[in-house]
Amino acid sequence: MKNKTWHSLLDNIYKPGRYLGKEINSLRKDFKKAKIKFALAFPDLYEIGMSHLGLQILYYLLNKEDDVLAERVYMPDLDFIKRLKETDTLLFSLESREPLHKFDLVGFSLQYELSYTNVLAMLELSKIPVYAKDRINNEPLIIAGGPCVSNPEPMADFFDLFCIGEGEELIIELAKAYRENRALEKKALLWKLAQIEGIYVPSLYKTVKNKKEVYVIPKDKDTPPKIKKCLVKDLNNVPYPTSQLIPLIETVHNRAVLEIERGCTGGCRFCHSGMIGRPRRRKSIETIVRLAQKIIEETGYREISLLSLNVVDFQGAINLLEILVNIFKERKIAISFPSLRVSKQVLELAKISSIIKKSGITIAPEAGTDRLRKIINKRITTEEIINLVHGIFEMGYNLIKLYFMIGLPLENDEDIMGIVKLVRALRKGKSKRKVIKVSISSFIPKPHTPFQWESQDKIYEIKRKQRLLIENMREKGIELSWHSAEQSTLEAALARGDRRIATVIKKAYEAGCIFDSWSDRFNFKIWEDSFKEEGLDLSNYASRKINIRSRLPWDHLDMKVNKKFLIKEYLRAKQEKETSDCYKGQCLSCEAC
Amino acid sequence: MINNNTSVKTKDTLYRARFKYAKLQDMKYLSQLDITRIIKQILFLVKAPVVIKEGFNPQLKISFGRALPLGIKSICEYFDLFLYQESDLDKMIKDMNKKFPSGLKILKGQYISLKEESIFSSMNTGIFKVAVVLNKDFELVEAKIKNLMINQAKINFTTKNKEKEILLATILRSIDIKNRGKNQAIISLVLKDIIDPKKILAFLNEDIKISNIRCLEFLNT
Repeated sequence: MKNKTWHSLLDNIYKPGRYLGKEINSLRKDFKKAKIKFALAFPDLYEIGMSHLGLQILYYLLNKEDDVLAERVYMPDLDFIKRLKETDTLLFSLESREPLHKFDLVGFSLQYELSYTNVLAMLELSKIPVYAKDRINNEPLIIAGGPCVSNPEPMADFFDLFCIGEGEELIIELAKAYRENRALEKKALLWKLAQIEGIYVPSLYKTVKNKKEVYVIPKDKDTPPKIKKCLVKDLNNVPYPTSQLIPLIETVHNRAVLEIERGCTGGCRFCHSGMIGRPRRRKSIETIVRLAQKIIEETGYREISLLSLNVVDFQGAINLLEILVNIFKERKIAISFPSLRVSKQVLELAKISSIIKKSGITIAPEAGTDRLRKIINKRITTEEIINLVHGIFEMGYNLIKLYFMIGLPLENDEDIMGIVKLVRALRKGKSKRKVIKVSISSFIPKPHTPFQWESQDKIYEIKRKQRLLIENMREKGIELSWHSAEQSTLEAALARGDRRIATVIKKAYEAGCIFDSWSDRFNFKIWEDSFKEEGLDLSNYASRKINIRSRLPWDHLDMKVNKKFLIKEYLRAKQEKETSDCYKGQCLSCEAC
Repeated sequence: MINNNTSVKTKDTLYRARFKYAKLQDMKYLSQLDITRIIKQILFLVKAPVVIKEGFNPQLKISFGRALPLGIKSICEYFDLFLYQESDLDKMIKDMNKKFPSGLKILKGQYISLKEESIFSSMNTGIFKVAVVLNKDFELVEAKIKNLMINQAKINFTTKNKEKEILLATILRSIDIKNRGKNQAIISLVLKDIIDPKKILAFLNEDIKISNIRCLEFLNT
């Protein structure tokens, strides 16, 4: 891109740093010489995408291959979209500033359903036809991965293929297969790629609809009826990016990230990440310590976040933390964690990490009463939560963040008021001066979880419960935040959607919907109308209760956890029975291992 | 150079170094906050013997000059860095420049007295060169510029969300224009306090189009 064009693109644009690339540790290969050109696309703003670990892992792994070039592209903001259109400039990658149609593959990371319209925006800004069936003139293969592809059906018409499961080994195998078969015409190429375990090519399947069910079957007998998710067996043996990208502008997280474990056997019945992430695998302490030192050496970050769905139950967590604190304390490099499961271990972890810095502590009680926690299989009591939080405050922490969920199955108003009572109990006595941040999300039934058959509360009911909490938690020292009921409803509809929703997504996009995850840009009415115009009911997708004997639109995807196990857990929830963590005791035959 | 950054209390700071750096090419699109963040991170990356202040959120002992508005290149940016031991500044500069994104470069560094006046206070006047394309005759534009200082002109100036009217002469030390031919010219401004030159040149909006702004130096006046 010529200098003059470049500067005229960026002048008077808000946060032009988003579009520069040139981050410290970014990789720039010769675009013309690369045999396979891969664009990694994140369908949200740069500040959000740069904080996402998965994209960095793939970026690093693909660029390690001699003949592969991987570059990044993020969703531009509204002012830059306008500028691109006014100047007739195509959306471009950050590294070489080449338009996306010059790449061989464009891989989208689908982290949340409310980013779907942004995918269409990015394709349109690249002048790439949004529907897969319309891409017949050597356009790049449009592919996707990420947690949302555990049910990719609402987006199936837009993508050539999906990578189901973990990407590290799968993406390299895909690149290799593409290299060997790229000369084939598209249909034959996709057929070849579909032979790789973990690759789902939606054009080889069709939707079947009867009165009660909507599900997916292969178009012909040679196509496998189920696609198994791809899994990295040994996290110690897969390369991990230590030269992490250092953004030039401020992003959501400004710290090093080190994944220590994948998958969770805690068994919370609403939890999508926990279920689709199984089986549980961890890095060894030696690997973690070695990587932590290398990451700090290569980035200069002042904080390292240890990623795991359940740090507290990581075997050797205390020992690991003691080793890391010992290494980093002189240099004042802080160690932080994502939200923690309630356990006495949290106090020990907080005590050790506070030697360097008291980073924020977040715990997730999720429900307000012991009864509801049993239903969702969160094996903690109100008394344990209170003791833990008081213990944290006594250590000198002045702020704690709590996550709760409303609209859970079998919930009643007593459970809602249970949240109020619990939070008030946490602020008694010496803790009166402390600040508690309470974040309330709405339950969203997600595929491949024991609650996938359950209904979501209707919007008016979510709002009623939110009002109950707001009215009863207007106190100094309590900071309450909550998610939009309308956004949660749309998320539920898309999460449990089928292939018919593709036209709804396209309609909503054409009517102006993008950045749906941003509350100030979200327009629920357009979505409702788009569903109606296609003869579908948004509310029904979110709130319908599904018969456990019905086939589901995502049944053709094998995420390792057996459906019988999910049904068993669902029925146990109705009986208010807990299930133990199989990591500590008996195998529960979920068949993930 | 010692490999570990050691936390040292402020009173034990031993050395102070002043660095001059350039912010060119695409780096003009980064804010002062962004630039300071990058510099701090690179200092840790090259394991400079920096002083980290004590406290709940330990910070580097470093100070920067006045913030230029976004969109302006500069070859005269400064920061003062406090070190707990004497180091080879040339090597430190070389190591840092290897890591910086292109467009950001440290030009020189030297040790100064611990008691030296802060950069922020001492570097209060900026010399700017603005490359423009002329929409009107050069003589017309030149006359307008000459009249500006004579006429006690005022400008509206927004600072911290408050708009106020100030005499141009209080902030504009001098202004002149040189013809470069082919409808191009260079306007030189000397401004007290760091204000976006575009605001000063707003009265010429119909007569010129700004193509580049560069800050050449900061002075203590």
